[in-house]
Amino acid sequence: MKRALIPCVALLLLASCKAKAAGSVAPAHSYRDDGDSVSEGYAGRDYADANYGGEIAMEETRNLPADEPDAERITSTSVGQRWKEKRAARQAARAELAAPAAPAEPLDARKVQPDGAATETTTAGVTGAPPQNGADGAQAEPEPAVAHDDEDIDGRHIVYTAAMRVAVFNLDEAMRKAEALPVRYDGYVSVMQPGHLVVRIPSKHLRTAMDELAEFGTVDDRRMQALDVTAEFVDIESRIRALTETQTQLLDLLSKARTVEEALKVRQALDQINTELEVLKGRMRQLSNQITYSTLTINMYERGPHDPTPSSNDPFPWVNNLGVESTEYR
Amino acid sequence: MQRIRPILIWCAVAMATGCNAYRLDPPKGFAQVSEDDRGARMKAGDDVGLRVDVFDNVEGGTLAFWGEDLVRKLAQRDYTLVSHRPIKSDNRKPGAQFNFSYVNPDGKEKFFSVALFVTDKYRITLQVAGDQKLAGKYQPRLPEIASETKIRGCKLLTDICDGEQPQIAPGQPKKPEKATKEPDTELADDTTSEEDPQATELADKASSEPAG
Repeated sequence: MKRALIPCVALLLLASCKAKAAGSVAPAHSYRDDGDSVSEGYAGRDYADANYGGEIAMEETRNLPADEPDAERITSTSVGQRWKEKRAARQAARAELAAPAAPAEPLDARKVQPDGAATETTTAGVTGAPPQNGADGAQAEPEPAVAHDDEDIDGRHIVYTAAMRVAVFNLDEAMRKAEALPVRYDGYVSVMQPGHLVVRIPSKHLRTAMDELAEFGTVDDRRMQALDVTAEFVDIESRIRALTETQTQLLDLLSKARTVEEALKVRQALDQINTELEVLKGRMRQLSNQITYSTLTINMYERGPHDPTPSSNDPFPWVNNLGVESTEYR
Repeated sequence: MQRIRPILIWCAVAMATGCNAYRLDPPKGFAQVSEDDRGARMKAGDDVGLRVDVFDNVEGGTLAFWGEDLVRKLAQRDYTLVSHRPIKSDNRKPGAQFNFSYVNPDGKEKFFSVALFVTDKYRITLQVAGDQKLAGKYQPRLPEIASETKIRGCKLLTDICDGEQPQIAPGQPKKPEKATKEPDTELADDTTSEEDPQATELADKASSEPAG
């Protein structure tokens, strides 16, 4: 008797599924403007499974771009396969709309809820669709994590490093003038030793400061290097944005945790996110400082009237090695 | 075998002398202090130094170009050009000799002469310097020392090794404002004979009356 009951129950369930699929499948709350197309898309399909697949499919449809043709969404009679296709499409759409580095694994809380509003909130939070709590999302223009005014050429972020070697007649006076130089350009002295200075000067004033420094004496050497860190800067920005989002979601989950165990798990994940976020923010601060303030290394030495007078950009300094001092013996 | 023998001997000599840019044995009166393929230093008994330096040449670098560059840059360092003349090396490569006078920071007068040879690959300088009172003894010897020097680095089908002499304007080059001493007027008068190499040679011979 029991053996006969099981197949009957299965058949009954199957029949109910078909009935539901064949009937008015349009959900109570159809979130698409062309809700008919949704129902038409699902109606007439041969579903082998229960509501689960159907409701999920509709829900995910809501999150997909509106202009996606139905034919692309429903390409298989197998619910499992169709579920996989929808998931792939959902992920592709998420990648287009949301920031990168969103968590790949769905959280445990991402379950179908009978209450559509809760589901929408959870789903939206997980997929990274419309932002919440003011967190930057896909829809907002990406903003830098740290305010800075260092974008120069076409939004590129360049780190400038320069060095100068200057021969002066009065070293003490030249050092005093060199120490005062960065202050005039809203910079500061980083390292100071006799004849050696490292100053940080706003990038926009670097060349002007170097030209002014060249007037202190004779320039033996003048070098400047530029390093484009735009890729790293943008990458860190994106990662901070994604982690901030995840942090917000985790905080929300933490507030909704029902058991201590759940809260602990969420807390652990949150701590990890916080640590990563702090590391990234620190690196961002460092980069921003390097971009905003260029580093100028100054070496000065005292020379007399008979010392060699090399030119600063002469490509052939061979004559510096010639002369009485390097030839005769004393 | 007899035909090959000279070739073999030549190869052996070449290998023995190496592929250096120059070849110079210590001239009479000089002892070798150091030597490598980029130069040599020699010393005379009266502290006069003889120095050989080798620099790589670049495309377009000629005797005229480097000679003018040398004179201009030494002038910036308060070296006063007294005279210059053409010279030749042991293997008949043309060069130029420049004679300078100089006052060092201690106020002592020095003489400084440099012979410059330019080939396709190298710039080779022979410098001799010491007290001004020894100028008459050593400055006229520089052409002789140059004629004992083998210069290498010439290529076929180029005229770098046969380049024209530098055209240095008569008179002293313009000195920087912070020069502390005016050049000797007698030396300044000597520059009027720069255009005439023979006159320069005669003047050098006259000034090189043996003192010892």
